[in-house]
Amino acid sequence: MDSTGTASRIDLTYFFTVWLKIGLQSFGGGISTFALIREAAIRKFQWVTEEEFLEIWAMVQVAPGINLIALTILLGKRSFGNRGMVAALIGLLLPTVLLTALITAVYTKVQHLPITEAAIRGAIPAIVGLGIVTSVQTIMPLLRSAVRDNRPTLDLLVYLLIVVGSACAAARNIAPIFTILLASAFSSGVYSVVTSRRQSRAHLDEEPL
Amino acid sequence: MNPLHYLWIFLKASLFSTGGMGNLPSLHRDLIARKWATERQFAESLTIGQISPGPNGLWVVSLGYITNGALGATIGAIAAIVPPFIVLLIDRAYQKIKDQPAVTGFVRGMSLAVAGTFIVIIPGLLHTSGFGPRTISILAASMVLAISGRVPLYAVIVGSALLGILLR
Repeated sequence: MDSTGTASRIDLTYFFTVWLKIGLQSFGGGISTFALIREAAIRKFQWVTEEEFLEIWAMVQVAPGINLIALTILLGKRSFGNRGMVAALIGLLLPTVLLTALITAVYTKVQHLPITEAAIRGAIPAIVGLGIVTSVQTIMPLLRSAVRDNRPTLDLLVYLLIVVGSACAAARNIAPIFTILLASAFSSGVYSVVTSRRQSRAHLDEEPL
Repeated sequence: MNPLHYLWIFLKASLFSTGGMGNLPSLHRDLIARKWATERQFAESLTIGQISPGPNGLWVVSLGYITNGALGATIGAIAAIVPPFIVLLIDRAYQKIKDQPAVTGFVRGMSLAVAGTFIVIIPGLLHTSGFGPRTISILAASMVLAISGRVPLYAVIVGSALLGILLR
């Protein structure tokens, strides 16, 4: 009993240092952080299989907020329970949150220098460009899957209506953003329920009695 | 500035959106309306979030620091860490909910609306860099590079910042 306790404590400490290393190596933002976590989870330490990882990633897409933090929470929990979850989160976030705050603190000290001003003026259009491309890239697979569906035109119309409607609502400032997002989510949920019911009923009607 | 109110604005923005930057439209609207942040501060913190280590969603730590110092950074960090815990509830129910049209439709609608509102909000940041040939060419080049997918996004940001210095 005692020895297994010690062994798992050593494992947990090691688990923590793995996440700490991921945090410290994760320069290059979200994509490199994701690559490091995936590599550690599937290949290096085999906390989960490739299929389990894919399922976890699918759940993460449904959760609110930062996907990589939700991923860390589930991988930690699956590997070492609640203590593993805390160890993984602290390991990943301690270095990254502190470095982000530190870089920002340095920035605020030098932000009035002409060279910083010039650098920021160069970076802003790139941030906007990347933001627009990322948004379009999240919409495109949904629109494409709508085209492949059995009700292509109706799905496509509804999806486009949500995108354009939420954009117009935000542009004209007719409601708080989170109201717009929730209204879109609810109407899309209702639409999915209604169409899937109708589809299964149509399917039943086709069955010869 | 009331710290609890400030925390609620950050939490709400992340709870009712998906992804690391899905909170931008809501935060932008709420903080700018109260004059608790400027367009410029949003642009600065998004830039720092892209080049600093870890998830890009940690840009809110930077936004918190720029607008409210260490307290703001702490609030930003809390608001980034708490909402993803909902994944634990999803984990418990996943086998039951994964093929429910209500759930997939809800998430899909939210992703579409996040993208729609994002596209409206983010060009506003351009006001702080000034329109002109330099802004427009960096904007176009960064979009082409992002679509091609051959250059890491942080390298696009760093390259554009260097270009900004060179073309000063």
